[in-house]
Amino acid sequence: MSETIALNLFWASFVVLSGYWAADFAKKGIRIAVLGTGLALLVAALTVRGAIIAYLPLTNKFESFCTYSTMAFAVLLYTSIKAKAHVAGRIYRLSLFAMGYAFMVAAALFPKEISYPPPLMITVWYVMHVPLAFFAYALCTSAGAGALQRMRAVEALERLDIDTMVGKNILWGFIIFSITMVFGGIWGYVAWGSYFLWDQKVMWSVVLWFFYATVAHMEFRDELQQKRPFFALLGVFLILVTYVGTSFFMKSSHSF
Amino acid sequence: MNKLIEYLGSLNFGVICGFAITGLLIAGSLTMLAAPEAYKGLQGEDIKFFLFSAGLVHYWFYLLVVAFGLFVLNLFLCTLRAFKKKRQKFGWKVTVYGSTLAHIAIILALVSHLVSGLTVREGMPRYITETDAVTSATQAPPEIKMRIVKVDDAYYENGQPRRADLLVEVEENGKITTETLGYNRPITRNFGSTEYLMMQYGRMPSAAIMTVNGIKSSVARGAEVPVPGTSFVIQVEDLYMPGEAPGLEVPALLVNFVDAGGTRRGGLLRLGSGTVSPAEGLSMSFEELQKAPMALVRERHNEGIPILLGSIILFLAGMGIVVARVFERG
Repeated sequence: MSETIALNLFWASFVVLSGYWAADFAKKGIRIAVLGTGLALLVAALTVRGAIIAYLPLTNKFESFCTYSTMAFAVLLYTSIKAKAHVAGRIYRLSLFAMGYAFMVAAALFPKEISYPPPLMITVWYVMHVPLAFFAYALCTSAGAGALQRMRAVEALERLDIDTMVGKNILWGFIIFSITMVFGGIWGYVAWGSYFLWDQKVMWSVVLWFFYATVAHMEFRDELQQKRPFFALLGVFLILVTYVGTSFFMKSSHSF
Repeated sequence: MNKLIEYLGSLNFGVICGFAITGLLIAGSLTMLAAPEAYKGLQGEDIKFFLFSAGLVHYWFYLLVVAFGLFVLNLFLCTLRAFKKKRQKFGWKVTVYGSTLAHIAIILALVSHLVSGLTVREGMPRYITETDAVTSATQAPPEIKMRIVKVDDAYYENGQPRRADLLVEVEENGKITTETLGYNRPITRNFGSTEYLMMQYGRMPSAAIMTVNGIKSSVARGAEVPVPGTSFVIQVEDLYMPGEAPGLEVPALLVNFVDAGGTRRGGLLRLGSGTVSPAEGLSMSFEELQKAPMALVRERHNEGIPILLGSIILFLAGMGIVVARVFERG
């Protein structure tokens, strides 16, 4: 019964968010209302699933993809409300939304049965590690979307504002990703005895950490700062490889 | 010389090192995918593997070591320079030293990773039960013995295990303590450098419930039991689980019995197969299999863990200060 409610909430969210493609061309209030409603329904769907298993609903690919989408939409909603109109421009909004929506479509294609977490997943380190990782991914994806928006910016002031937003997203994404790496390492130690593994997902997470550590430090030199939008876009590609590529195309112990 | 040191500690050089490490790790990942057979046996944090099975295929790792070395040098020099500047400008104002702490923590983490990679080792997994005190898997002192005292486990409605916390009696250097062992709850020693991990939990056969000449009793493997009122002595030599012997679909006991004349005979007694009379005046049946909790425990040693713990504390403190400063600046 509850599983059906969760599924219906997911589909309702999917329908509402599908409407965002059109709503984005409407007034700010309308698009925020559509995005906010879709996001609230998605959060509700995940909350019901969490209540069924009495744990964090991150136990399979469906929930994993939904969580990424949730984080991407939450960042988009926040930026849409807070940022200046030319910073959270249409290219930014639609490209970040497209990423979240693509993962929602992917989620819709995967089995949606409730699955209980195995004992090794039941730890506070997992609860702190995985959602934060998704939040960091979403912030870095937002930086990539900002880099796309910057390409269309004409005025210098406009570019400067977008650069600031991209820089902040990268910095916060990096800080949160650093913390998630620490929590993930502790979880690895208490669960398997190893904080690091020569495993594709772990290696690519380290790749991502070094990449964003480097890009975040580019802020301190003007000539390097100019190149940051390119790296912000490259970062999104690295996130996709780390998150999706290692699970589907490379043999990894992190199978979702 | 000064110019070289200045360059080695510069942001530009740091950026080069950062991207070099990124690129070499990607090269490593792709090499591992292209030649998986060259990486068989590579586990955990181990880096000795790359030294003992040296080969051109590990080119990326050797270059990575050089890149990390230069990166640590860069980090050290630029952190030192920044520290001196901050010290002159701000004195000991804590909020400006967040990045300094985080940078020192990263250097420490890389040092700990090197120590881990060179010292990590693990013993053979061992079973621990309620009765057996199983000795430590490696020869490394101190020797440690464990015995399950109490089990606190839980299952989901579909029967899938949810939690298994074992209260374990640990005997170490003649001293006995009681500790909890479970999934995500290892028993640790020496600031975490020695770890006992529960890899698997379940129940294993511990004894057979047999009825011999109408008397029901629990008989452990290897036990010899005189049959009251007769001259027979029966011995449970072994227990076979389904599949362990050809055509065996249920658990079975290999039972020997010795008569008054010393003649020894034996055969398989299957669970639930009813009462059998292998000799005049002797009847027996195998009623039930008793099971007791057991856990598969793995022992791991990693001398880098205490340094890593220090680096984590320092890193989180540094990051906390950085975050506070970001908020402070708006």
